[in-house]
Amino acid sequence: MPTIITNKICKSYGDVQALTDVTLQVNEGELFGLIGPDGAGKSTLLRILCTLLVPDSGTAEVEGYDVVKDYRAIRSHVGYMPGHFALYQDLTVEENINFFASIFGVPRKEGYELIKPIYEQIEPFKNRQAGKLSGGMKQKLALCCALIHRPKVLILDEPTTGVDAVSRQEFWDLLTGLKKQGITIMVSTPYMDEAMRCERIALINAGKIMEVDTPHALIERYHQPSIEDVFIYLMGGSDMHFDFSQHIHPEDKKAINVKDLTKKFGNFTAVDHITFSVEKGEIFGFLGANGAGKTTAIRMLCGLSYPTSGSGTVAGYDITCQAEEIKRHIGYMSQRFSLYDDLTVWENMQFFGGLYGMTREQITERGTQLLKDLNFYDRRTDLVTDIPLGWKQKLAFTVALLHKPEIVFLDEPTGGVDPIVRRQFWELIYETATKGVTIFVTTHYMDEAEYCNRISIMVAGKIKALNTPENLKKEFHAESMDEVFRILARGGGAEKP
Amino acid sequence: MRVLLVVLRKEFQQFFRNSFLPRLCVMFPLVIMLVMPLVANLEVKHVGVVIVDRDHSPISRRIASDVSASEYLSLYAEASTYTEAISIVEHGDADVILEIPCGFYDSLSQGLEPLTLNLSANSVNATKGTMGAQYLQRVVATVIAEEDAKAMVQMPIAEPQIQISTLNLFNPTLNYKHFMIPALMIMLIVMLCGFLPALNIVGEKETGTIEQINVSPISQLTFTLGKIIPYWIIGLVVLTIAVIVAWLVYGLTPKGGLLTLYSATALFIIVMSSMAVIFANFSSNMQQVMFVMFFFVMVFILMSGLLTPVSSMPQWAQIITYGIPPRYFVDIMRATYLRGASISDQYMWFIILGGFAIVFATAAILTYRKQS
Repeated sequence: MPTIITNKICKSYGDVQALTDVTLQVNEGELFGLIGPDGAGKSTLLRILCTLLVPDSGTAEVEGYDVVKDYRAIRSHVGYMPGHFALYQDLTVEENINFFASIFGVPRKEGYELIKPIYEQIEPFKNRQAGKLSGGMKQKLALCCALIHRPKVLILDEPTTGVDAVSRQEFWDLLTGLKKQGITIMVSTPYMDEAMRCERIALINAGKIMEVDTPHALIERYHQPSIEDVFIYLMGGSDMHFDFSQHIHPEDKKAINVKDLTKKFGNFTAVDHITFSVEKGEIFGFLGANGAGKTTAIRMLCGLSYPTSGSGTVAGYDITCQAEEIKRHIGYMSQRFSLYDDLTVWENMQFFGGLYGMTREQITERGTQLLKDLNFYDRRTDLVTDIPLGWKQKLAFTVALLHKPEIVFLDEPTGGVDPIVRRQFWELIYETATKGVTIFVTTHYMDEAEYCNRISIMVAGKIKALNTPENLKKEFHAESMDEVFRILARGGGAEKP
Repeated sequence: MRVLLVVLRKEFQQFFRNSFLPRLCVMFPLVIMLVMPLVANLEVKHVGVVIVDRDHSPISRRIASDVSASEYLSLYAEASTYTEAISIVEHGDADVILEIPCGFYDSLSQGLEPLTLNLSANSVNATKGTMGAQYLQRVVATVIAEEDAKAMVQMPIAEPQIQISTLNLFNPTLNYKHFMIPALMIMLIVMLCGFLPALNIVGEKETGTIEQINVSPISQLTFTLGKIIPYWIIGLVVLTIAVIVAWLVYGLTPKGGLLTLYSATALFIIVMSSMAVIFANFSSNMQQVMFVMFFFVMVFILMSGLLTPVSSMPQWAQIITYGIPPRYFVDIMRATYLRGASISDQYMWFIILGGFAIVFATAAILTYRKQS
């Protein structure tokens, strides 16, 4: 008998149809993946199964209980881990676990057997506050908390978003272990590569289930090389494989040049004597695990943070004393989406262009051209808040280009967007790079790393490797960048208590 | 300069697009000015009185009828024993007991050794109790004085020393409203110009848009002005609404002139919103800035002489009030509205308020850090 059954579930928020006729079955003991981009309706479906939302129409059963009528029974049988860690940031690891054990009314040792293999990995940090753990560690702790009452069904909502490749790998190893103990797991993710680790997957887009099957069956059925391509194919995306790197010709001029750059917070060294240079017009991938110090390094390069020691130049200006000059010559798109939601696209452009001292005419001229290139000119009076995430990211990038910067810093620009947008985004990056703009980009997607001219991999505040993707693969005898990354991050990235 | 205009345009676009803020800035002053002068009233009215009349004389009946005629007192019941009266008070139906001893009238009219009237007040609510007792004393004193005049008899009354302060409160209610209206305007400015800029900046921190501003070459001065000027304009609009309501509804106009009123407010808004910017610069989330701001707003409202006169505070507290900017603003507003003082009459206070404005605005600019 299936553990989870949904029958024609519909749910809408105002005018937005979040789910349309979702019908699914998840078998007992299965590891079931719900794969789709941001805003596809994954969270809504999972929240309905956890009895946190009531469907507009349709029925759903978990463990034979109806999600509307028997919500109490479901809550004691289901473990739920919401997208953004449901942990108390200011409680320690142990206090968090004890708290969750007590709200479910179970003695801690009862659930301990189940979480033991996971808990052992975080035990060295048991007296550390949850807020001070790295992303991967937080995920493990959240998983412990969701498992403490020994649920038969585990529902995970995007557990690995914003987590680096290595931690993601480890997390999936844990899920496989739990499955062996007979727990039914339903997990949602925007990462297509994670789909391969599920027994069966449902591809969901815009509230509709497009396909349900095993990953391999889907790949065979649609004759595509990967699940990502299956997804793009089903969404009607064109074949977007393009040949990179040939039309980019970095000049022999340094856009960024830093030596022994260091940043300390108290006695913690976030960035430890990094030395590297980026040539003008190249796409430079700046990779690293969560907490490796990437964001801190970027903030120093952009003049948002003072280096503790070391020196360097960005666009020819000194990072220690000419921060404001640097800011005139760079563009920046941060991890969190950074246009104003309550302004229209056009108003955002007027504002950000104006900040850089551009005149109205200049902004209008350049903005019109950029938006026309993006095929967004007709929608320029839309409020940013109403625009889908993928478009927002592309627009944020465009706005960062408004004042014709020499270097653009992109901090995880493609987090959470669907594969089609991701490819379109990289096309945009390439187009920009061919015009001689230097691109400095961070990402957690290892396939994107392969699109860069050169990449550096940062581990625990230090740059452990810096070369072209091909040379790195040769150097580490690896098949893919993913493997290179794992070798490096595993080697030196172990967190110390 | 052009950058400043760009920032201001963006702030106003956001302000007017917000479904809540523009309404708040109109409704808040309207509600406060229309409702609060009627409600926030320190006068005590309709204090319940129980009379234990053992005398049953013309004078005791006159006292009872005067009590029921008074706007400030209401005769709840007449009790036959003191115990009965106490139980009425314990029920919460009345707050003051007046016991008129047997033979009181005779002692008055015959010029004997006067008998003592017994007056007890429930002072759980201290204001109500003491005020009620004072009102009642006043009624009794009037009755006796009239009786006195008739009978030409010497008549002492218990505790005559607190009578003087009671007199003011018998003034028409109108004066108290007049006292409150400038105070309410000040509270409006303190609340709106204190909280809104702070929440605006911290809001940008929480959504992450401030990062995008920090990587742009905008100067500290331009950014800070861009955050203060909108609330300066909004504050003056709010003041205008309040002034119009005061004039139309309560017939109160600033006797010292609108120029005095507006220039003082303009200076004070700079102080308040600069302070908000300073707190926001040091806070990373709404909770922090709200609580810090709330603490200072409380201190400002309670220690500036807005509700209770500075002169009745202990000496040490009076010294502290010199460092509290709204103290000067409260003085200026009351003097302008009620006494008719102009700028030249109170130029010292304007200079001090201007000094605060300069110091706070400079601190606001300097504490905004684009680089950490």
